[in-house]
Parts: sequence; structure tokens; C-alpha cells
Amino acid sequence: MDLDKEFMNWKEAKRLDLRGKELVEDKFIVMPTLWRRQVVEPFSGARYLGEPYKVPESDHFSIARPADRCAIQHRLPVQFVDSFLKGTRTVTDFSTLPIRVSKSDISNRLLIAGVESTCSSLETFEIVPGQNAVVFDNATMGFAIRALSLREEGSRFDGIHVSCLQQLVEAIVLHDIILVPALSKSPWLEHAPVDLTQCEIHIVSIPPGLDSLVRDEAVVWLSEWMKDNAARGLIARLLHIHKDHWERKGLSLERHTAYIPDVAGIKDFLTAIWEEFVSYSSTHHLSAPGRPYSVDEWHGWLKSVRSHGLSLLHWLVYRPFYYHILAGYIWKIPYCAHPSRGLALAFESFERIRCRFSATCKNAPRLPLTIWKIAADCDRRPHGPNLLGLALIEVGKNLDSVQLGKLKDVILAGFDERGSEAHACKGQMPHLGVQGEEHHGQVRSRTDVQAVSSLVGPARDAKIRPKQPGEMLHLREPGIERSGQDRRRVDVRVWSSHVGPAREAKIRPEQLRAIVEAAENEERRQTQFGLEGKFTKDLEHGMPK
Amino acid sequence: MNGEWVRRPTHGTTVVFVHGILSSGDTCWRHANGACWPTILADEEFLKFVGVYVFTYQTTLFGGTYRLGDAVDALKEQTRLDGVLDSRQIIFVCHSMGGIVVRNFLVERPTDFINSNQALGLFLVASPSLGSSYADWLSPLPRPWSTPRQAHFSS
Repeated sequence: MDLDKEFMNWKEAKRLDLRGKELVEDKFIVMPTLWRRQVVEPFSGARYLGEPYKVPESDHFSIARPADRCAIQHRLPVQFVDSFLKGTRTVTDFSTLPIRVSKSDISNRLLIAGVESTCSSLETFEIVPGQNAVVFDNATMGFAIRALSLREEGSRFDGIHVSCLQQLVEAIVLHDIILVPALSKSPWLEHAPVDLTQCEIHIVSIPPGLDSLVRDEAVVWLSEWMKDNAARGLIARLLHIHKDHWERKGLSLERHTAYIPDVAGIKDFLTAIWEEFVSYSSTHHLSAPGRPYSVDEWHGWLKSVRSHGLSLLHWLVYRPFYYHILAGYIWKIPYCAHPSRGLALAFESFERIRCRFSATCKNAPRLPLTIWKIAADCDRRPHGPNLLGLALIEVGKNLDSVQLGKLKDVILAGFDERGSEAHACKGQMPHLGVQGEEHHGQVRSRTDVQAVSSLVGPARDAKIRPKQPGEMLHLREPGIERSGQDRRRVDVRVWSSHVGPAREAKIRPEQLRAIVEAAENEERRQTQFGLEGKFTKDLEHGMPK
Repeated sequence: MNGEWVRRPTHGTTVVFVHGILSSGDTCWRHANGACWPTILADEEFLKFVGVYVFTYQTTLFGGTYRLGDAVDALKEQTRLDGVLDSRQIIFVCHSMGGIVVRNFLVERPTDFINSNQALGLFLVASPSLGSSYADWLSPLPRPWSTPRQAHFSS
């Protein structure tokens, strides 16, 4: 009776996941017609668990001896086992199931050291309380698997993994290391998820002889071990989970770029670049681990990728961050420590380029080709033509092919003519904000000077101070500004104040005579129409001595 | 008196058969036609990943000093040595006194299962929770063969 009470209390405490079923016999073992009472009566045999079942025509011994698989007392436990497993299974999707792998202290240390140092996530692993097992995030495993599945033959990992794998196969014992999809603190421990499909996964443990492995070898080992599983789609599944894992850390690309307009589908474009880039860098790293993560050239876009000391897994976790780095290499955007800011700058830069050419394209029919040439000069960068071409294609949809072809030719021609000058201007890129505006203004003021240089002489434009565009803007269109000679004379004085007094002496006499004649004609005209001018007085005042 | 694996589990689920009184792991589950319940269960196609383990402990009418607690200890040690307790899901199929042994085991060692977060299933086959009236009839039988000292400790 004590056991009965203790077991009842223990069961009701529900400290353990316990389910069950009870079968009770139907008859006594001998002379059932005489002995009506069973050996174990129903009130005693059906006490703890719900839905007891009395097996017909069974006695205390035959109830435990089914004749075949069709016997009811066999079918019931089979059903019970099945329902037990289904009830235990909290997730039916294979992708979310845990994978137990290994357990010894050596293994733990090895794997922790390996995965921790290759994945920046603090949630990469944890020790299962009381079980001496390690829990890995699927994402972490996915990273390692994906990275190492791209390994090239002949790398320094070659050879190591073979021996490791052989030992592992020989050392298949029990499962200890656990991979869980979501590494939160409680769920999987509470429900102990399991699934029949797990039987597809080999259960191995790390042999003690591998304790000398360092981080990279440990990851290689994990990769090799999972290779067969990867062939069943595990990689894709893990990478899919990776996105959630990543977003759980608040590193969502969508979140970081929510306020950035999608410019001409550039996000997709950049994503495609990134995916390919990651694959390439993974391969590159694994084939040449001596110089990790350095890429010399990639599709002609990247000259180099800095060796920042972070692992490939780190790259993948901080995806937006490397989006930014990638964008920086493509568009020469200044480095920004904050990934979202950096990404914003990347898109902002492209948006700036696009808007500039979009505005230009709207006026394309009315603009001379020289304007396009100037516009091309505004973006002097190694890959400028590529981006300009993309922008033109995007914004120039309203242009006919002839116009578009001309625009592209002009831009590309301008870039070719630029030559080494482009590199000299790299430090003055119109990258952001006010500086971009200033640069734009400089170009315009230089254009203006060129336009008026025919009036003031070729020597003038070289000596005009470039940093006072505001004062010169009114000279931009001389034909309009010179409506009156007095005003033109004032303009000349303004000029002289910029270029220095020596300039006045360089005004050509024939030009001066022409100016005086024009002024006299204007004075007569104004006098004729009753207008009072002070041209002569002003002219005398401003005449060179 | 050892447990025996009919088949080892492939992913952490084991069914443990525990026989009853005056029986054994072989005779308890074997039908007259030769069919053995653990084997039948192991042959189920969709349970091929489930391990099947048959535990045997000493139980005779004149068992001497071998008592219920000893059977519980045997269950604990044998299952531990054979790796049954490493399974994440353990389902006990207990006949008669086997149910008492297992229930004793669970009550005595609850923390072992709780700490390892194991799930337990209990399939009791004609297992008495409140005893059996026939057992009271048989209880006087072993006493004359017990030594006075043993009888003293037994009482």
C-alpha cells in the first residue's frame, strides 16, 4: 500500500512526463468457471492510468503471451508506443528536430571551442543541465556544413577529415551532442522532441583521440559527419533556419533596410551579388586558409576584401554588415562601423547617382552632349561607367534607343577620356550630403567659366578661384546678364576682384573698344528713350589707366 | 539473470519488457506456439527504430533473501549497464510483479529521469497496484524455509 501511495503521489506531482496504459486479465488461470476472481482484479490492475482494457479470454499469464502480431494485447502496446512518440513529438517538421550526436567532456570542450570561435553568436551552444551534453544551434551547424561542403580538394583540411571520419565511424556509440533549431532556454528541454525520421541520422560520438583537434579541424569533423545528412537536404534546411536565427538576433536585413527605398531593384541585385560572393569566399577561404577571407578579384568588381580577422561564420551572421562592406567595395563608400548605417549609405549613394541621371535624362532632348560629359565627370570612380550605365538603363526607359545609345556613348567616352584623372579625384567623390552638393557646384561653375572664357580671354578660366561659385552664378548666362552695359561693367569689376588687378590689363584693346562702342550705343539708345544712365561716368571710373 | 537486447535503438527510444513473478524474460512472454512478444514487437515495421530490451530478474517461490528491493536494484543496474537508461524515451511493458518493480524503481530514482529529461511510458499488463488476494494465500508458504534470522529481518 505504501508503494501504491508513493507512486500515486509521484505521478500526480507531474515532475516527469509519464503516460501509460493498463491491461487487465479476464479470467483466473485455472478453472475459470469455478474461480471467478482474477489473479489481479480490475480494481487493482487498473488504478493509475486512464482507459484500462480487459483482454477477453485472457488469464494472468496468457495476457502476456500474444500468439501473433494480431493479438489485441500486442496491438495495444504497439499503438501505445506510436501514440507515445507522437505525443512526445512537439514538432512534426523534420527540419526542427534535434539531433543528438555526442557527449564526452573532451568532445564538449572540443566542440565548444570550435564552434564558439567560429561563430560569433553567444547562443551558439549551451550545456544541457544534468546531461553533460552540448546543444548546438542548427544555424551554427549549417554554417559549418555549408562552408566546408564547399571545401576544395587539396586544402589543408584534406587528409585530416578522412582519419577523423574513420575513427568516428568505428566509434559509433551513443548520442550526446544535440542540435536544436531554436536555442531558447526552455522549449526543447521541456518537451524532449523526437521523431521517427531521426533514425535517418547517424548517431556518433567523438572519439577521445580527436581531442587534439583545433577549431578548424573540429568544424571539419562536424562537416564530414554531417555530409551524408546534407545530401538529404539538411543543408538547405539549416540555412533556412539560419534566417530565423539571424532575425532573432535583430539582424534582419528587412529591418535594417526598411527605411531605404528599393532603388531600381538594387536590393535584389545586391542580394544576388552577396549570395555569390559568400559562396566564392567560402571556397576561397577553405582552399587557401592561410589568407582567410581575402578575395583579390571577383567578377572584376572587387579588388580586395580586407582581412578583418573574423571567421566565415561571422560573415554569415552579420550579413547586413557585410552587405555594407560589399557595397563599399563596389561603390567605394566610406567605411561605417554600424551595419545598418553602412547599408543605408550604400543605397543612398546609389540613389543619389540614380536621381542625378534620372533628372538629366528628363531633359535629355534639350541638353547638349557636353552636359552628359560633364555629368560623367561628376562620378569619377573606377566602376563609374558600370553604375552610370545601369542607371541610364533604368531611368532612360522613356528614351528611344538612339538617344539612350548616345547618352551611354557620351558617358563611356567621358570616362575613357578621363584616364588617370579619375583616380586623382577619388578623394573628392560626391559620396554624401553637402560634399556632393559642393562637388556638383564646382563642376557647374567650371562649366560657366568655360562658357565665358571666350569673352574674357583664355587665360582667365585657369585663374578663376573655384571656391566662390555663388558669386559667379550670375555670370552663368552672359547673354541675359549683360542686358545693360553698366551691369556688365559691374560684373567685370567683380571678376577683377577675383582674378586680381592684373587681369584688367589683359583685356584686349579690341574687346575694350567693342565694349565702349556697345556702351555708347546703349547710352544713346537709353537717352533716346528718356532713360538716364551713368554709363560714361562709370566707364571712366572703371577704365584702365 | 541479465537483461538482453532484442534490438538496440537507433534514435533513443527503448521498450523494456519486465516479467512478473515466478517467471523469466523468456517464459513470461513466450506463447505456446513459440511466438515471443518482444520479438513480435521488434518485428513491427514502423517501430524498427525502437530498441527492445528484455529485463530478467530472479523470482522464485522460494527466493530466499532475494526481495523486491533487490529486483529493483537489478533493474536499475542492468538497464544502466546496458545503456537502456541513456534512451530519451523509455517505455516499460510490465507484467504482473514487473509493474511493481518498475514503479518502485521510478519512485526510488525519480531524479535520474527528471534530470535527464527523459519521457517515460508505462504499459502495465495485469499488474496489481493493490496486491492480489491470492498472494495472501501463498505468503505463508516460504516462511518455514526461511531461517529465523532472515524471517526476523523480513518481518
